[in-house]
Amino acid sequence: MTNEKELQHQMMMVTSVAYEMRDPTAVILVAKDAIEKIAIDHLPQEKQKKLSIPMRCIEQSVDKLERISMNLLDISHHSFGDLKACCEPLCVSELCTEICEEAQKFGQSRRIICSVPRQAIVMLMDSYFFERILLNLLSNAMTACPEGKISVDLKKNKQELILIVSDSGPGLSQERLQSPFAPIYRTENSDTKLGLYICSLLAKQLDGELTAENMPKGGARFVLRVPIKESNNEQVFKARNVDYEKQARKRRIRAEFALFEGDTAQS
Amino acid sequence: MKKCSHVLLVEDNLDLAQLQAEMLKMQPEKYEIQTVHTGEQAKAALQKKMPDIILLDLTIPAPDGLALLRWMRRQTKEIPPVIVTTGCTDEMVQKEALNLGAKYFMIKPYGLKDLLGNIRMLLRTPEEQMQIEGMSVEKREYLLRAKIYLHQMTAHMESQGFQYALLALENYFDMGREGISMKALSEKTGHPLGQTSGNNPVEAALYRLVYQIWKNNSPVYQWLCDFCGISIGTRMPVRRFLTALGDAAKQENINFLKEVAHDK
Repeated sequence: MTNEKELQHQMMMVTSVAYEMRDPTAVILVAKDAIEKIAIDHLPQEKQKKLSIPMRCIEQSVDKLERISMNLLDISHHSFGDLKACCEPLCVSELCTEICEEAQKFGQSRRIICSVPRQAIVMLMDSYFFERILLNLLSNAMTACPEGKISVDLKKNKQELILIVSDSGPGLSQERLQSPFAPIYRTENSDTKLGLYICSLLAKQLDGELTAENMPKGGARFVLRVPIKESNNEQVFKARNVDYEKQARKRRIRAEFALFEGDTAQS
Repeated sequence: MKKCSHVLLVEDNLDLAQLQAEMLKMQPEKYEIQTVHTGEQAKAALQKKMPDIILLDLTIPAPDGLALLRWMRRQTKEIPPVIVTTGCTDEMVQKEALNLGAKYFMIKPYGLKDLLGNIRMLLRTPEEQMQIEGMSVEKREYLLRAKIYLHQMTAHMESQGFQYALLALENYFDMGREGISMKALSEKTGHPLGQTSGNNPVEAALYRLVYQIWKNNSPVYQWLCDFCGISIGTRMPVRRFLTALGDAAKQENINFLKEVAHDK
């Protein structure tokens, strides 16, 4: 019981920190905009160009902080049992195409190929969950594959929706293949990696299954299978706010892919 | 000469408050900025003078932003436009703020450009808005109603399909009954609508509309069945239903989008 309370206490602290982080990052971003407006915009072009690198670093760091904050919030919501899917009729194929197009903008020399069926896929789905899974899988593929091809295939049969994200990178290490969705915490050799762990949590909430494998010709492949749900009268429909959703999605996409901008792609 | 707009900035982060105030003062528009850091200070400022716009951080010392909004609602029916700024992404909080009269919800961290854009947009008079959009107040209100309706009806509102459905409604407003035929809509969007093969964003949007109408037990569903000349009772619409709808629409200029828009 004490342990449980302690864990709850720790998770509350994580939530609080994740939200609190956004205040100083807001200051950094507004201050950066102010510096640009007051000083940089009036400098000769050559100096402006030189200063664009540190300015971009500030922006990217803010995006990275936002990504950390998003991941921490997902994990803490999950441990409080608040991470529950709220499914609505969603044009999944359209959302998939939109995210891939956005990812391509940050993709540099990577080629993101998205194939969805001609027939639009409309089904009951939580848009946030689908978006976060696809964003994380894409981000993972982009990290593994600094140049080359990343394929996103979306299809549906009578029983399930199938999303396949594959890359032409080196594939998963044997060690990683044993537990591909376990969180990785910062060590001497590695940064914290929570993306795939969050994907697996979200897939579970959708009653789906997420698997990872190496392809025979190289590269890794992640497959998400989500059962098609029949609509029932108890289905709760969210009253949605478009501006908010657009803004929030734009931010999540930016936070997820900002690290690929410029020359910072990691292998 | 345009009057100076009074902005009340409620923000407990002193650095952010100062930065935002300074940047607002530097804009070509004339802003008179009053900065407060707590809910109590905000109350006192509001009792003295009602601002033209409020930038409200939700997590301020008591009363917090939501409590302040509730208090404002009790004080007066017409509160000035409020832009809520917060690091909290909880949808319930966002919904409550909007229900309490906030006009816009900005999630921290946001850029200065977005903030200024939203302030400018909310401070525009209806005449200025009309000048920018090049449309009459009547049309703007019609499109606003249409948007609200479509938001409630469609599943993925920022989608291309949503834009097409809105375009269909705008066509109806501009051209009347003749403007809304599937043919005209197909020509305008470049997607052959109502054909049996294939699919397109317009159909996806329409299918979602039909699905939601069915889901909400709207009487319009029966009307749509009659329109298509098919009898499926209260069963869930299938894609064939949409094809039937397209076929029926080919025969007659449809005004069902208008009908459903007035249904709410």
